[in-house]
Amino acid sequence: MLEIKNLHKVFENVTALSNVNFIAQAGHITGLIGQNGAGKSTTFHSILNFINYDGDIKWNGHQITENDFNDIGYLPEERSLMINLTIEQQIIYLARLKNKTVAEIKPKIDDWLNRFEVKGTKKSKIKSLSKGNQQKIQLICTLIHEPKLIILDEPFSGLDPVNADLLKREIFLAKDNGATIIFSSHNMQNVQELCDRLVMLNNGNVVLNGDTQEIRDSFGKTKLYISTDKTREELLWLDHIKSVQTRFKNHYLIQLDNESAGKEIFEKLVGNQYTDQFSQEPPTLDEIFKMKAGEHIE
Amino acid sequence: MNKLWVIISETYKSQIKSITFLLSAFLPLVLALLVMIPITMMSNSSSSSSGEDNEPSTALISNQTQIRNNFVKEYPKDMDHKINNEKQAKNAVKNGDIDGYVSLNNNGKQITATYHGNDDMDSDVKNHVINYIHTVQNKLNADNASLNVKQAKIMNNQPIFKSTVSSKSNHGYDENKDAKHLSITICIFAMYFILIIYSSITAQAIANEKGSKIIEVIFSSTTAMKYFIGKITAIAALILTQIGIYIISGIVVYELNAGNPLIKENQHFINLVINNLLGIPLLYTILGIILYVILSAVCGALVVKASDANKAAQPVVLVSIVAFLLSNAFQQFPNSLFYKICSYVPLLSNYFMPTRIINGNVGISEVCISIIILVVTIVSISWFIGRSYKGLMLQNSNNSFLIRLRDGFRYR
Repeated sequence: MLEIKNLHKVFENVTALSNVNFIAQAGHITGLIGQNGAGKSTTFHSILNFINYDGDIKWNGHQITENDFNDIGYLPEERSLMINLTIEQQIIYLARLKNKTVAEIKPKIDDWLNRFEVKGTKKSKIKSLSKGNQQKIQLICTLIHEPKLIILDEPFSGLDPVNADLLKREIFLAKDNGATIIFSSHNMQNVQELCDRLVMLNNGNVVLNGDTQEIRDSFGKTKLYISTDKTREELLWLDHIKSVQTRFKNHYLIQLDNESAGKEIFEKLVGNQYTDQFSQEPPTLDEIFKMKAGEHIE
Repeated sequence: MNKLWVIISETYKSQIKSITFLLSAFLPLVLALLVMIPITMMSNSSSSSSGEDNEPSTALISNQTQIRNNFVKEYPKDMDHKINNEKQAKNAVKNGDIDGYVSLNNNGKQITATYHGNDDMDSDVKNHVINYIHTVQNKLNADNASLNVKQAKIMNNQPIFKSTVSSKSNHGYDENKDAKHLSITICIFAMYFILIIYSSITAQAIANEKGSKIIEVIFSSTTAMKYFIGKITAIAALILTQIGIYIISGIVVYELNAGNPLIKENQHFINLVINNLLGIPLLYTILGIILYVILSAVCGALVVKASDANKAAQPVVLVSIVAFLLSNAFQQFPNSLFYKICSYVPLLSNYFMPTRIINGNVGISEVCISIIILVVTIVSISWFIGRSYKGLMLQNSNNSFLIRLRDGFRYR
């Protein structure tokens, strides 16, 4: 378990983190979201002791020291490989720095390359790989030593949806093995799919912290996806309707002014009739993100 | 310890296969070989033309068999024994078997030696012939003057020229002084070039790591101090490898050419140079380069962009050039106060102290103090930079070099 208490960091006169508190549980995936400059990387750098900070960061009840490095798998935001090495050399070198022996790692390499569907052999030079494949190698280097604390800074960067799914599969596998996983992403769809818990930073402050679904639900199920033969104008005449958006023919997204209005609208529009869609949902993480970041949501 | 070893071995393995190392280690050897081959060939050709190893290229004929036989007996390698009359000699010259022949004539009063040939006479053979006919002429003069044995002996007395030189060498010049001068030149130039190469290798390797952000992954695996010490140790091992390659190559070349007249002739001189270079001056070279390498690592850590990696070592190279030029400029004044002070100052002492040691104008205690200062500096700077290395590598300030340096040390 990773416990962050009153984390505070000031760079010269700029407050990067202010009283940040959250817990990342073992066997859970915690998403750290926020705009650029919100303090996500600073939080990661604090956890990894790259910078000095005020507050407490405890891993399984103690400060992170050199002895814990072998249990950490860290993926930085930017490309971080030695491009003149081969895939095998790169993976072995970084695994040896995690106290793994060549004999332990070498037999696993082919399996990991297959799991991530890397285009290239283990003898291929890193520089000969595409950006996406380099990202996969970085991810393998982060995960192959089976770390207990996994920190992923923008892990989906450079991955297409198919490859993103491969990564999600591995992240879920690590979660099932009991690892504590914390990652940042700007892709709210991925965050929503993966995270058990969510921490949102805004200008160094925690503005959201909790179970992902509970956070979404806390914003109320004010989004209504319906299928009806009514026109958009007819829908706008109904009570409790803030806005109506046509998605495609006879399908609308309605923004309600309160959650309980859904039942009333259901009775008026559907009643005992058949409908192929009537779904009342909370806002997506993307919408919550924009809302919290101060942007207008239609 | 295990991680330190991983860092050392990985850095060493990646650098030893680099083009820069291979060129810097083997190009001087190839160039030395290219220079040595013609010298060796010239030396062999010179020895062959002096008639030491090959068949004689001159013949001797005479109207008096005794005179000819006495010469051949005294200088058996000078003349072709098989040719003993003018006809044979002319044919041999015509056929190119010999370069020429000497015809010795005695008319009872005068000895005449005439050389006939297509090419100049070998100077050694010519001297032998002149000495020989001089002796025979003296004897003939004494006989013609009816001198008795005692008088003839008195007439043969020659003046004596003696030479006494202070050098232990039996050559006619100050071999020791020349050996010192050559040793100092080799020591300073070798140090300068190795230092420039390794400063660049180190700064560039570290700048590339910084640029690629691999350093963040590494710092999540091991401490910055351990990583820094590992890097520097690997580079030091690389330097020792290169010096080792030079020493082993030198020994092999020396042994292979042990029979070469040029080496035999200069054996004592070569030994003097080798003795001057090995030992304490070599230690200074290694320690000096390590100190500069450490500073190059700092320069590499301060680059802003990966594309600036090749310029990273510039500040250290500049300091090295200044030290190199100063040591050259003041080489003629090794006893000056400035020279003495510089031989204790780290970054300069590696250039200045070896000169004083080779010249023999410094005591062992002074050398020890200078080495201790250098070693303490290396250890202190390594410790200080090792502690700040994380900050130096992780800071990404875009200001001037000095501000980046300050920010790196302040990085928290």
